[in-house]
Amino acid sequence: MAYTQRIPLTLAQHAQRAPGKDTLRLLRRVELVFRTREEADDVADLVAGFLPDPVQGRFGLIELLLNAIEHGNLAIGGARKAQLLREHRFEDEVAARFEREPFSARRVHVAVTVAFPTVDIEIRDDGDGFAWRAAVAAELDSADSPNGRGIALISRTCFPSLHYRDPGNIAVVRATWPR
Amino acid sequence: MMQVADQIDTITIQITGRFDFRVIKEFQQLLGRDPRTWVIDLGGVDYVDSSALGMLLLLRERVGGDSMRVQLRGVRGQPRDVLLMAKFDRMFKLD
Repeated sequence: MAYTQRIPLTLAQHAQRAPGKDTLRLLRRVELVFRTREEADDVADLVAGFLPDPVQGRFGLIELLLNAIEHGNLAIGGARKAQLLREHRFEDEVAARFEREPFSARRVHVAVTVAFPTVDIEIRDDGDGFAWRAAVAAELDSADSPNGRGIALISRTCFPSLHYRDPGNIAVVRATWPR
Repeated sequence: MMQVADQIDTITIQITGRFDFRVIKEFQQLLGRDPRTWVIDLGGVDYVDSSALGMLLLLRERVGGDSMRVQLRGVRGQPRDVLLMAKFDRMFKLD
């Protein structure tokens, strides 16, 4: 697949490319629309640059973007993903669903609104939502499943403000730069 | 990027750069093997995501939950922060 051939930037390179406070003071709104996980990687790189901690922020963003694709647009639930991972069929299932209706027409929409020093990020998928409150409250030390801890992890590290709008297809986070 | 060294009783997987969703397929292909010990060298990794955590937990399942059979080496920086936050130090041997 194409994304295996991509050579990602190092975190240090990302930090150098971030726009910084002076540019952010001029910025008001950025909107991005995408479909694939390769594109999600690029969007995470870009949007992380708007955050005060781009390393932590990127970790949180890619979790939210991949969730929007895999669980939202492609409608692969948590238990189903665990089963597919154990059977080593997850990647094939993702590829198959990207080609199939109604999943193929779905997109992820990201809006970044800046009112410096505040940066608000909204991530909307075209899926049916999910039980986001349980995902946020999930235990981190469970070894029962190879997936399902990403949302809980980022809500306790990089994005304590993380919440969803019901039915759970819109993730909202806020980051604030130090003055 | 992943490099694999297959010794008598040990498979060492050396990962560099990002350990994330892009390497799921490659990592899972290795899980078909059954050495006594797995060494995952993360010394060259500067970034992990939750897909990486999932891969490590699948490996843990593969060895029946025996934490002595999986060693995570060279864990530092963001990967260390994430692994400790996810309490992987209770489930794996972190060097």
